[in-house]
Amino acid sequence: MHDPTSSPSRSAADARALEAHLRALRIELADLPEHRREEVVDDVRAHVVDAAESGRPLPQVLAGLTAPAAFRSELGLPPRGDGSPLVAARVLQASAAVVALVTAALTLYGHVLSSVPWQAGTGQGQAHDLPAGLASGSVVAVAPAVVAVLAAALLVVPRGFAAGPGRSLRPAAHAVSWVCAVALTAATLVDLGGSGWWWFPAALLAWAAVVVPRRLRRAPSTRGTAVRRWLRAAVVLLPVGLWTGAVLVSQGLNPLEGGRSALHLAVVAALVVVGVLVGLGSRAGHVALAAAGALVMVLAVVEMGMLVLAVWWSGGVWLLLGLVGLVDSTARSRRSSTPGTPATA
Amino acid sequence: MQDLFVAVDAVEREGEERITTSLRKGLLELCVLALLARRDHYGLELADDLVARGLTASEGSLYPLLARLRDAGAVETRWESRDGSRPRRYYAITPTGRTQLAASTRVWRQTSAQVDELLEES
Repeated sequence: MHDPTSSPSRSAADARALEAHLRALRIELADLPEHRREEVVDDVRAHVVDAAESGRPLPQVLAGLTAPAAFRSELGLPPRGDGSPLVAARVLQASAAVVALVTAALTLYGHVLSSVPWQAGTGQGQAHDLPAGLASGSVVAVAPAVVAVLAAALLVVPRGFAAGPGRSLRPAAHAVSWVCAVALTAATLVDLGGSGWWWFPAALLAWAAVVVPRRLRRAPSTRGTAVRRWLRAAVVLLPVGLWTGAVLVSQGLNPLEGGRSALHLAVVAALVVVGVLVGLGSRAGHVALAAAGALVMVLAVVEMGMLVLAVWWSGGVWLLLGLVGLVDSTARSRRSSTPGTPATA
Repeated sequence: MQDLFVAVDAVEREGEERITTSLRKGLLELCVLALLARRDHYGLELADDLVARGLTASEGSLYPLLARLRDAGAVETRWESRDGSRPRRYYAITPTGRTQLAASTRVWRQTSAQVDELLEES
């Protein structure tokens, strides 16, 4: 392609101003096929170079051009969103798939353990000793995770399936999220007395992948956003406060004398910081909360101690709140940098 | 009293500009095709011609229109260097564009005649 900007008469500042305008135009028309987008960019570039060469000041030429967002509208394209609902659906759906896979592995493991005859570990047990019902039980254990992985793959891998015009979320992708959420909820409810509750965090993440993108499509209220942030912070700070209170009541004012390690206090301090950052809407705070949630879930699985299910859930809730807060704050920063889209608080 | 006349004048001028803009907007496509039917133009030349004839106030509004016409197959673009000068981006009307121009011209003549007749009656 010929580059008409290579005229030596144009100053570096002019070149930068022109490239900034063309970059904004490219971003605005990002969902057009590349050849159509580049044709438009070539049209505008050629006009600007010709006008500047005829002696017109570049700022005046650029001011006379149709603004990128108006250009998009003149082409009959729908207004371009900030892509936040699409990003939220992908992040939450992928997280639901990962948690569902871990849950399936745990469920399968528990299923096998409970099915092995008493000879297990003595070297006398054989594969054919396993009850015939194990195979069908395995399918039941794995099926919800397969649904979740397929849903995440559909939303993330083929570019055109989830992303509609103007970086919107296609209805088909939204329907896939619904199917996944229903499947994981069914997995939770079918075996409530047994392994069903293990599916609860994955189901929560799957429902978040349904609800959060819908919420991000609407213009958010400043008050609602702040309330959500501090509710998330309360979920982090509440257990910390309860634990600290319990220690103070039972051990007195100096918890270190009660045998509590400095590591415990450091964890408490870190969680307080994370809670406050979450309340203030910090992206780093939400990343830390999601990471802490994932770590707690891993610890629950590795330790398998008392209250393992409660620890698994707590980690799941923190992971969920961290990710939801992260997509919220990402949407906020995108909206503040995208003209014409509503900004959140 | 003089302020009132100035205000009324400003409102009238504003209304006139708005009407002109919306009428021109609808007709710009026909005008661009008509100019290109005479000969190929490069973008700035086309924009200057339209501005000089008072058919558009903003030369920038030409490019979304040219992109739409190109997508519809009515216009095609090429880089061309004439008389050893720097290559320029030329726009040419296609057979589809000529068919569209003929249809638009017919509609314009019928409509403008009917509008003229109506305005004369009123």
